[in-house]
Amino acid sequence: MKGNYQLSISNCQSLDKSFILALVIFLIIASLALAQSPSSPAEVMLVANQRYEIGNYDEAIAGYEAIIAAGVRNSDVYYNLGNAYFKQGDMGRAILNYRRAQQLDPPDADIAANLALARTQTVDKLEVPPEGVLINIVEIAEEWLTLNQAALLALGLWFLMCVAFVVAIFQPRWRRLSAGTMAILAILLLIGLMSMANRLYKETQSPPAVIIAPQVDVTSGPGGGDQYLVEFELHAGAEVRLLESRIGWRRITLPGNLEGWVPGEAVEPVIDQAQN
Amino acid sequence: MSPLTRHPRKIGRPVIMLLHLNLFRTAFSKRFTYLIAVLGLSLLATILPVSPITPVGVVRAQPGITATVDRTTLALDEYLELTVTISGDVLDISGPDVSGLTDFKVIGSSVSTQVSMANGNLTAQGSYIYRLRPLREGDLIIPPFSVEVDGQIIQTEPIEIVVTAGSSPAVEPDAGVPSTEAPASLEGQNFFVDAEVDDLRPYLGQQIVYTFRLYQAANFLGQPDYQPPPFIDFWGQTTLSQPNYRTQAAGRDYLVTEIRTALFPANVGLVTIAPAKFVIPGGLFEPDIILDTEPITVDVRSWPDDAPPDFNGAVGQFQISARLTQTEGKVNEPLTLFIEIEGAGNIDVLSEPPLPAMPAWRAFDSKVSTTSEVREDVVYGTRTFERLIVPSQPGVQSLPPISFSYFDPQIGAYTTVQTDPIPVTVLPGDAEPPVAPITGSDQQPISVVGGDIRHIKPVPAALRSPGAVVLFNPLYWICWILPALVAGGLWIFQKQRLRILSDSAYARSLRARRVAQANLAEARRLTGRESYARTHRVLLGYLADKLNRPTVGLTTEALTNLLTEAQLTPALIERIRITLDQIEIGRFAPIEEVAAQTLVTETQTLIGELEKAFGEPR
Repeated sequence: MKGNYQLSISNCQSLDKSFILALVIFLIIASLALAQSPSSPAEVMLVANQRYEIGNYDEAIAGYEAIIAAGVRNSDVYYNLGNAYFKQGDMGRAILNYRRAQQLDPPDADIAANLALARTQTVDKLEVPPEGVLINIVEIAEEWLTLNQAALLALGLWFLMCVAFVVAIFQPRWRRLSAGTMAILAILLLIGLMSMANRLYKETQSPPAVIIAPQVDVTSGPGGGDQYLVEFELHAGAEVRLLESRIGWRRITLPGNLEGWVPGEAVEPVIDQAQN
Repeated sequence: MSPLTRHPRKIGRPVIMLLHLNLFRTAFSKRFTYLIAVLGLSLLATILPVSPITPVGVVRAQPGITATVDRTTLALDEYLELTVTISGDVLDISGPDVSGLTDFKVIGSSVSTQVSMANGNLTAQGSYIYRLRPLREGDLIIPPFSVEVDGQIIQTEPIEIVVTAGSSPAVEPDAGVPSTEAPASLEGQNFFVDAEVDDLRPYLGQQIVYTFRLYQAANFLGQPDYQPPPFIDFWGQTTLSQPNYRTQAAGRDYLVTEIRTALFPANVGLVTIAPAKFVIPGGLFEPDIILDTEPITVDVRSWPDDAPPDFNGAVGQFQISARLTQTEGKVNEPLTLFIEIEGAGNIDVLSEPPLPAMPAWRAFDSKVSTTSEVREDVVYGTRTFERLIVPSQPGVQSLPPISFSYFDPQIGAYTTVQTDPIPVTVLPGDAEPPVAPITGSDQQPISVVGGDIRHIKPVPAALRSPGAVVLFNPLYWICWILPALVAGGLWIFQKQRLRILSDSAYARSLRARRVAQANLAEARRLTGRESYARTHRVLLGYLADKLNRPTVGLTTEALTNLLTEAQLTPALIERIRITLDQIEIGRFAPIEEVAAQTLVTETQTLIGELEKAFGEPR
């Protein structure tokens, strides 16, 4: 780069010397900036992991957050970030990031274990009412597959159903076998479609969120306790669902038919906008 | 025999029906049970044939009366039991008249009646038991009892009773068992239970005796059931003696039966022994009597802190001894060392005393055996540890003393005992070092001492974000539609193919235009009359295929009728007819090439319109 500058100078003898000097300084600074180009996300994560290992959780968190801010959505990054928050005792953000990691990698046992442990450390005990058998079957699929995996699996089942249909058309001897196969595939496909629909519905109509403030009053309206009645209070790590957002306020719902408004900064949706 | 098993049921023997009915003083119960017995036996007597064989071992009750007492000498504050036994005909038997007992007060009575049938005869024997308390000192007389049996007056001999002042030792069924003070709440009750332990503040592991006590002032109707409490915080529930004796309370004489159980506390602190239950079966119309003891709370003390290092939880009084199978051995040849701990206490849980340092010996795992017995309500036993020990050096050696420490609850202190040294002569040997015998596994369950989150994950090989949601990608839905389209197309194709194969009219109609087009192309290449002839065959052939008719004999008139039936428009039919006429004229008129080609074109156009008119193949 520096040779190029000299070449430019030799070709521009008529230019003002002060201008040339300013240009040289600018280019040197630019080249230095280029020499210290931002590390790759993998390198940042490596450094963040090292910070975590020595117990410097603040810097580890900064590193993981930088990766996410750069647009990388990876379950391992969210998981490690959740661990760092856990070590700091911030159960709200720990659970939030475990949930985000789980969205990206549902069957990961480490995420499930740490999420379960973090949930035991929260203040609020949320009683989840038992659901019907069908809902449970549908939600089992959610625990094992991402939305894309479920969508591709459903497409695969549909393709196999079509193949079985064609076999039934051209091979009358195999018609009974094909019909049975199609019935099984149809049941699985139905569960898969219901799972997808359920997930899409929940994520669009009442997306999951986590309370990240240490303690927050839940009011009957989008305003403070002096304006509306404080119905109950929640603590960091409480898992809620978002019903509505207004400027500075979010309406949340909890199991047990509890609803109310909390300040927007007190709750964070599990699916961040970039991920969505 | 314990009163708990005094009256087993004996109903249901073949041929001889014997009912042994114990009746309480309740008038209704007595009469009703008696009536049931009589009615039942009468019914059986009418049903069963009279056996000609006299059963062996059955003695028909002879008419008579006897009177006996359980003692003839007693103190003024004591009781005696008078038993009057009357036997005779079942319908005539009645109780004795006790109005002559002027020197005694009847404080209780019970009746035991035995009805039997043999050779068709019903006989009965009633035992009337009276509890009598003397009213004065001196020589008293129980007057004769008389009863009329089978029309005869029979009477007993008078009985002399000596009543002394003050108290005299009570007559006790089990000698040596002290009489227990009966609870005041016994008044008016036939049955009562209580329970106690002999030490309410025992040490951990110390034997205590749990005593269940049944107070009984009447007989049972059936077999009672004792349900001991679940001794949850104790181990080693060894059943001890079951003494019985009599006691008096509230003016009544009670037979007391104790059930003693040896317990060893397993937990320190306040532990509660749940109530024991005693169930006495009721009669036909009487409910069962269920008696419960009060729960007992025991404060179990822990051992003192100054325990010797080798103390391992032994509580009681023990002695230790050790011996070898032989006092002479060879190097690398095993000897068996027996360590015996004998004494009173929690013998079943004693751990093996640690062996002292024996550098010239190797020791292997041991076998354990235990024998125990009960002596005067104390659990004694011997626990034997059997070890293989192998000398590794020759010479005269001595097995060092083996010490054993236990906690003696009687003195509240630890005691250490030890064995004597055992001299052993070890000769040089040539055997290979023995292989340790394989014994039971020492595996233990993993105990989690702390929990933490799982560790962070390393940097993945590819730190990528997941792709966009495929549900919002049109290509994804195209992938859904494509297989459906292919499958649907194949279904239609197969359906069409099967119809063509099975429906010849449909097949002719379907291929009519294609055949006509090919033939018209051929006609266009021909000239003169051949062109007209080919065109004529093409049009007729097309119509024949569409109408599924043979070409032969298809006149213009017949064709017109068929086309009308096919619901073609009259204009089109007329046009067909004109075309056919022109072809006919052309076939036999002077040749005009231009006209022939025009006619081919017209036929082609006409077939195109006919194809539309016929529409969907029928």
